[in-house]
Formats: sequence, structure tokens, C-alpha cells
Amino acid sequence: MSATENLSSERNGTEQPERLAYSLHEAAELLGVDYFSVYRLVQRKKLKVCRALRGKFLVSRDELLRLLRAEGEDAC
Amino acid sequence: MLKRHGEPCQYRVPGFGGRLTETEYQAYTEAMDVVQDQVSQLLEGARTLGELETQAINWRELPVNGTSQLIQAIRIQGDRGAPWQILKTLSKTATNEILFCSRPRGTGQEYGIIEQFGPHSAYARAHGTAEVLMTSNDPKILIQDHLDNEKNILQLFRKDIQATVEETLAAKYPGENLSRVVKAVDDRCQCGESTLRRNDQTKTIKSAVRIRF
Repeated sequence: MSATENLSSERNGTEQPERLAYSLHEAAELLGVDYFSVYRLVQRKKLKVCRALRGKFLVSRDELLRLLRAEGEDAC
Repeated sequence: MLKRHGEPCQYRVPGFGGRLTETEYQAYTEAMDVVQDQVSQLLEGARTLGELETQAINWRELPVNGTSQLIQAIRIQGDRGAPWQILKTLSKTATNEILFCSRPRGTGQEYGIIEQFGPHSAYARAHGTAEVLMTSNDPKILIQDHLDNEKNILQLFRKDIQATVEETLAAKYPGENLSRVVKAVDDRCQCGESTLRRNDQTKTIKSAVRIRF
């Protein structure tokens, strides 16, 4: 199952509560990239993040889905 | 023996100058269990960057991988320009590579820092296996900018680890002041960055000598 399907299927799942946001490390696993790559995406503003109460970066599920569906939109 | 809140401070942890009490040590262990993987990644990233910075200081000529016949080319999805030729692999992990590349542009050369992802990753399937991080016509400025950028990323990473530790401790020890534990983990993370600071000092000394002569 692809990461997009993984994220999308959670909407229909009944056993686990729906996740609204992920840590950057969870995002790295879902995207299949290195931890540092996700921080680079944040720094380059390709991935929008918000901060939790104690300053931890969080990325919304919708933002991850948007990034994974953004095929061909980022041509140089 | 020094005591804090009635408990002797007897536990030493790597990178932290002070000693922790039994409660603090237990909290430190629990926090490190959560962020151990991230701390290892941070230290490894800092080590790789420190090595690259040391190499870059000593580069007299541009590094080239292999002979001209073996130079690998790389194409960026959606880029209509010439393919990039890989000059050097700056860093490599299980899932990505940071490459120093060049290609002809007009009468001169264009240099670029390119990140290459694993071809089977979800991100690569959506955006292609390689992305240009930055470009310049001056390779030395480009490398320096890349190093500065990576240092900023390490700082972001360190702050995120610190926030995760604070979150973990607040959930497990509500109402307790464990700021020394947060500092101990942060000091552990800063161990890697001290290598980078030493490199900065070396650079300052070298440039000072250059000015004097």
C-alpha cells in the first residue's frame, strides 16, 4: 500500500482514531526519505508545518497528502 | 555529595557537565528512549558535515569523481536544461545522497547541490528522484552556502528534539521541573555541533593568518 493510500485509508478506518498531524519523523517515514530531507523541505517551504505547544514541528495529514499528490507541479 | 530535592546527584550522562539525581536520571533514560534514534541521526549528520567542512577548507581544486569518461549524469524531472554531471558525493545515507554537480551554461559552468532520493520512496514517485537544492556560478560560494544551510537544518533538528523531550517529560512527569534533564539531552545533541564550531575557529585562524601575511 502506498503512503498516499496509507494516509487516505485512515479516514475510513474504525479501529484507530483519525490522525490529524504527524511529527516530522513520522512524515519522513511516510515519505520514505531521510530525517534531514524533511527538514530541508520545511526550510525550502515545500512542506508547511505548524508548531505544537512546546515548539515541536507538526505536519498536517492534508499537507502530506498535498505533497504526495503534487506530481509534476514543481517543474524547474 | 551534592543533593537536590533531598536526592544525591550521582549520575553522569554523556555530554552533560553536571550530575543527575535518581529521578532526573530515570527521566533522562525515558526521554532518551524516545529520541535516541533522532539524536543518533543528529550526531551522525553533524559528524558528516564536520568532515565535509574540513575537506572543503582544504580543497585547492574542484573535486571530481573518477575520470571524465566515468562522470555520471543526472536529470531533474521537469528541467529542460542540460543534464547535471556529478562532481562529488557530499553526503550519503540509506535513503538519500547530496551531490555536488555542474553543467555547462552559456560560456561558463553552472554548479548545483542536488539531493537524490531512493527511487521507490513515496516522495520520489511524486516529485522525481532528484531535486536541485541550490545553484551558483561560483562553486566555492555554493559549497559554503550549502554548509551554512545544513548547519541551520541541524539547529532546527536539535530544537525539534528538545521540544519532543519536553513534551515526553511533561506527559510522564506532570508538574515536575525537569529542565536539567532537557538541558542534559540538549548538551548531548550539542556534542556533534562542537566539531563544527572547532572547524569555524580553524577557518577564522587561517583567514587571520592570511590577512597578516
